[in-house]
Amino acid sequence: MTFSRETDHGTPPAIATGKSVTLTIDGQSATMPEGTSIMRAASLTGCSIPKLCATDNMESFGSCRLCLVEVEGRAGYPASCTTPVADGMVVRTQTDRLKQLRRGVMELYISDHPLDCLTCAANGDCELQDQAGAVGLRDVRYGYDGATNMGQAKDQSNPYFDFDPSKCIVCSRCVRACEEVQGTFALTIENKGFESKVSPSQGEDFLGSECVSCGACVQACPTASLIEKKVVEIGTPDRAVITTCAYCGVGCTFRAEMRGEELVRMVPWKEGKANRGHSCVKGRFAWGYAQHQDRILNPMIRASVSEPWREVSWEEAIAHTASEFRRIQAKYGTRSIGGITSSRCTNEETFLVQKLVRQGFGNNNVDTCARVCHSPTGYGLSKTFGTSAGTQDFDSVMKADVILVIGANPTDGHPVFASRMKKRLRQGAKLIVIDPRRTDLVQSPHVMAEHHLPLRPGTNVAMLTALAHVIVTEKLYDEAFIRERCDWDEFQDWADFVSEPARSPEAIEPLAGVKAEEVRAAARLYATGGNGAIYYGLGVTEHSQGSSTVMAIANLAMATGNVGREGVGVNPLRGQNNVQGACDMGSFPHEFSGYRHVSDDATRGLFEQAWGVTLDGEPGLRIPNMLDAATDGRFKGIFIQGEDILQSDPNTHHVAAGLAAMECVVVQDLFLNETANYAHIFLPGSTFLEKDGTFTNAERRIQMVRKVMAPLNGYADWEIVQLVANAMGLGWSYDHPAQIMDEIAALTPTFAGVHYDRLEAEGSLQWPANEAAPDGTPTMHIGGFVRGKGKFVVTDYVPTDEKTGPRFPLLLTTGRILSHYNVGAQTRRTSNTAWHPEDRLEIHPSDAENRGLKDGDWVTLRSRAGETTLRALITERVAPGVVYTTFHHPETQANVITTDFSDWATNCPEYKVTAVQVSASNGPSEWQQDYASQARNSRRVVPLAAAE
Amino acid sequence: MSDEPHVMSTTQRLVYMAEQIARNFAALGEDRTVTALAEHLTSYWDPHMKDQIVAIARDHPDSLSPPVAAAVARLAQGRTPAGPNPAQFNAVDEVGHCDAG
Repeated sequence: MTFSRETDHGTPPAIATGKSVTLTIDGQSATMPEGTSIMRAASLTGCSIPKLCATDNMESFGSCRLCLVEVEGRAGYPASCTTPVADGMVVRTQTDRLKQLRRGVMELYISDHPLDCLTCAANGDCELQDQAGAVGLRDVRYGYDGATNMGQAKDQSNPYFDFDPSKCIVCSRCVRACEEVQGTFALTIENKGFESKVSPSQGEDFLGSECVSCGACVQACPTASLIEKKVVEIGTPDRAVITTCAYCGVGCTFRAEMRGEELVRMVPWKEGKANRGHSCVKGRFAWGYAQHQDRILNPMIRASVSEPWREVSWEEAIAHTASEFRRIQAKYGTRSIGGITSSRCTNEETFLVQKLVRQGFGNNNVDTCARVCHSPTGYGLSKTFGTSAGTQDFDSVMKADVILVIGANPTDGHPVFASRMKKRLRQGAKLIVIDPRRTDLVQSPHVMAEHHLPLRPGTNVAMLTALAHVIVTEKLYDEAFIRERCDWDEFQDWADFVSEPARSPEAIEPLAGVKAEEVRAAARLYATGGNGAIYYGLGVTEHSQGSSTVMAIANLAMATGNVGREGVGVNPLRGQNNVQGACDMGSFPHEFSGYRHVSDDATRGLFEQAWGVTLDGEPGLRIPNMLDAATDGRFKGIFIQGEDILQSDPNTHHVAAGLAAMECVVVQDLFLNETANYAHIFLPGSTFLEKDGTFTNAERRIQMVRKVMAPLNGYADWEIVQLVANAMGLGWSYDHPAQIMDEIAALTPTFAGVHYDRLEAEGSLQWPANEAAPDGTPTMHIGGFVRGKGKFVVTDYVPTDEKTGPRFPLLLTTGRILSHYNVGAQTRRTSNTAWHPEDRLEIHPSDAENRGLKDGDWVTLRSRAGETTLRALITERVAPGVVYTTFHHPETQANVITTDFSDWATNCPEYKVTAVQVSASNGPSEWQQDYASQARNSRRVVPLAAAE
Repeated sequence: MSDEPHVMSTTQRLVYMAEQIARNFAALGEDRTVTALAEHLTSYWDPHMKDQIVAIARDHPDSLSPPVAAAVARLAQGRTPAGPNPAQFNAVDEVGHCDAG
C-alpha cells in the first residue's frame, strides 16, 4: 500500500431509519439515507466540498464556514456539514459566489497563520494547506502587521506530540475528539473571540493535565498545531501498511505509516471494526521498544545460569536446543519437557509451538498465559454456553441499555473499548460497577454509575448469587427465554438454590460489605432495564472461585434472557492482544485447537493423520504443575515463547525454584526478561512489526498482522519455531504463515473458513467462520446455545483459604494502569514511563494514618509468601482494609507477595486476594537487593566476536 | 489458616487441589460430587498427577475426605500407571550436540 490519506466524508453516516432521499448535487442525481449531511452525500458522489472543522468520526460542528453551498429555493449559503439532504433538493457546491465566500474565509484564517509551509513538519500533509489550494487562495489582503496569535510558546511536555498554538485555527476538532471519541473531556477552548485558545484542562500543559495521550486530538488536527514528535523528527510518511496492535485484547487496527523501513507513526485505521478509528497511548505511541537498545538480536547459550551468556550462531543455538530437549527426554522420559505459547505472538506462531510440543515432544505439556488470566472464562463459558469465548462484538455495546461491569477497569485495561462504552453511557445507558475499587468508570466526566457495589475482594460469587436471589425471588427472570433456550429442570434446581435466605443480599451484607438495598436495586435494574450486557475482566477470573464466578455471570445472563442478540451478552475483556487466539489454537494441555479434548479419539485421529505421529491422549501439565514437577525432579526442560513467568506468575519464589531445577530453559523473547535469568538458551524474538500473521481479539475477531520491516533478529518467530522443529526431525516446510493458517482451518471446524484471502477481502472475520457461517459470527448463540440447551450451574460460595489475620490484616488486590502493559517489558522501554515510572501501593487514608504513613513514603508490603518494598499512594479509590498495586516493574516484583492459591477448576492464580501487612520501610528488601544483583550477573553477555 | 508461611509439597498440593474441587462441587450432593470430581481429574490432570493422587489414596487413605476418596477410587478403576514413558523419537546427539559455555 502506498501512502494516501484515508477518505474523510466530513460527517458520520446518518442513523439508520430505513428511509432514503434522492437529491441532485452539481447536476448529478444521488440517493442517500435520510439524515445524511449534504457534505457527506457530496463526498460519496465524488464531489469534495472544502472543509476544515468537519471530519467524519465526529458530529458536525459548523464553525469554519468553508463548506458553504447553495441550495435551490433556499436563502443564504448553508453549511453543508450541518444541513441534511432532502428529497428533491438541488445543491450546487461550486459557484462564483461560493468561491468568493470561501476565499474570504480562508483569507482570514491564513492572516493569522505562520507562512512557514516549506519548513513546517506537516508540509504536504496539512488540510489547511490543501484547502487553501482548493479554494484558490492567492493573496491575503489584510497583511501581517496587526495583532496575531503567532509566536506563542509550544507545549512540548507530552513525550509523543507537540502543541504549537501559533498554528492553531481554533476549529475545535481536538476538543471535540477528546469529548466525542475519547470521552475524557481534557481539552477546552479558553477565552473568547480573538483570544480563543485550545487549553488542556485549566491552563495546564498536556502532560500535567487529565489528557490520556490517546492521540485522537493529534489525528483530528487539520494543521501542524498538534503533531507527532516523530513526524517532526523524521518527516512525513511515504507509505502505509494496515496491521493490528500487539497490546491489549481490543485488537485495534492501525495504519503503520512508514518512510522507507522507518516507522513514522501508527494511526488508528478508520475501517478497523474493533477500534473504529480510535487508539490509546500504547498502540498509538508506545512502539519504540521495537528498536530499543535492550533488544537481543543474537542467539545465546550457556551451560549454567551463573555463567555469562555466550553469543552463538543461529545454527548452533537451534542445534543445541534440539539436542538438549532430546537428551533430557532420553534420560527422564517423554513427559519431562514442555512448552509455553505466547499470547503476544500470532495465531500461527502459537499453533506451531503447541504443534512442536504435541508432535515433537510427544506429550501435551503445553500451556499459555491464559492460565493466569482467563482460563476460568474458557472453563465457565464452555460449561454453560458451550464455547470458550465472549458472545458479542464491541459494536454491541452501542445497543446496550444497562451495562454491568464486574472486576474490570476498562478505562485502563481496554481504553479504546472503554471510550465506546462511555459514549453509550453518555447517550443514556445505565451503569452498574461491581469492584472493590472506585475505578474511573464509577465517576468521570459525564459518566456516573447508577450503582457501585464496592464488594470485599473474594466475595464475587456471593454477590452474584445475591443478585440472582433478587431476580428469582422477585420473579424478574425471563421464563419464556429460559423454557425455550435452557434446561428448565436445571434452572429450577439453580433457582431453588439461589432463593434460599442465606443467599439474599441481606444475608451477605456483612460478608461482602455492600448495603443490601443497593444490591437489590442493581439486580432490578439489570433484570428490567432493557438490554443488559455484562463486561468482566481479571477481577472475576483471578480468584479461587474464578470459574464459579464466570458461571454465575452466565447464569444471570440466561435467567434474564440477555444472550443471543445485539446489546446483551457476556463479554470477557481479554488481557493480551492474542490471548483469545492462543486459547483457540490449542495452547491448553487438555485441548487441541478449537477446544477439543485430547482424549477424543476422532479429533486426535485427525491430527495424527495430518502430522504423521501418534499423539498422547492424556492431558499435559499446566504451568504451576510443570513448576511443581520441576521441583520434584520430574520436569527438566521448557520452551518459553514470549512469556515472562518469573514476573507475571504468582509466588515468584516458587517459580524461581521450579526454573532453577530444570536442566534446559529456553526463552524466546525480545529482551532478556526476568525468566531469562534462569535460562540456558536465549532465542531472540521478533516484534509484531517484523512478521506476518493474525491476532484474534476479545470479540473472536481474527485480524491480519502485516510485516512492515525486516526482523532485526533475522527471523520471524514462526520461522524460529520451525527451525527448532526441523532440528528435532519434524520436517516442517512452511514458507509463509498463510500455509499455517490453512492447516489450522483444515483441522479446526470453527476456523474452517478462515484463510488469508478471505481476511484480506473482509478485513477481519469473527469465528466461528465456516460453511455454516461463511461471513463469521459477530453475535453468538442466536436462536440456540452452541451446547444445545443453556446450562444453569449451581455456584456455591466457597470462601478463599487466604485469610486475613493479626499479622496480615489487609487484603491486597493487583491490576494494571493505562500507560503500561502486563509485565511492562515493552512499555517500560518507551516514554510511557513519564506517566508511571514505578509501581505504587494504593492505601486508604485511614489505613495509612494507622501506620503513620505519608503519601510517597517507602513501605514494606509483606504476605505469607514474601515481601517487597514500594512507595505508598494514599487514596480513597481503595476501601479501608484493601490495598492495591500494579505489577509492571520488576524492581517491585509484586508477585513475590502473591500466593499459590488458585481457581479450583483451572489453577488460575488468586492474584486478587492476598492477605498482607504494610509498614514503613527504609528501602528495598533483602530479597530485592539479592535479586537485583543476581539479575545483573545473569545478564552478562560475551559478544559473538569475543566468544569466537 | 496460620499466619506462618506455609509451603505445600506437591503431594500436599494435589490433596489440597482435589479437596478444593470437591468443595466447589459440594452443592451438587455427594453422589454427583464424586462423579463430577472423577470426571474433572480425568479431564484435566496429567497422568503422573493422577498416579500420585491414586497412590495417596492407597497409602494415606485418611488424608482424603470421603467424596474425594470415592472419586479417586473411581479414577483408579482400570487405570494403568503412566510410568516413565521413555522417548521414542530421535536419539540423543542425532541432530547435533554441543555443550554451552
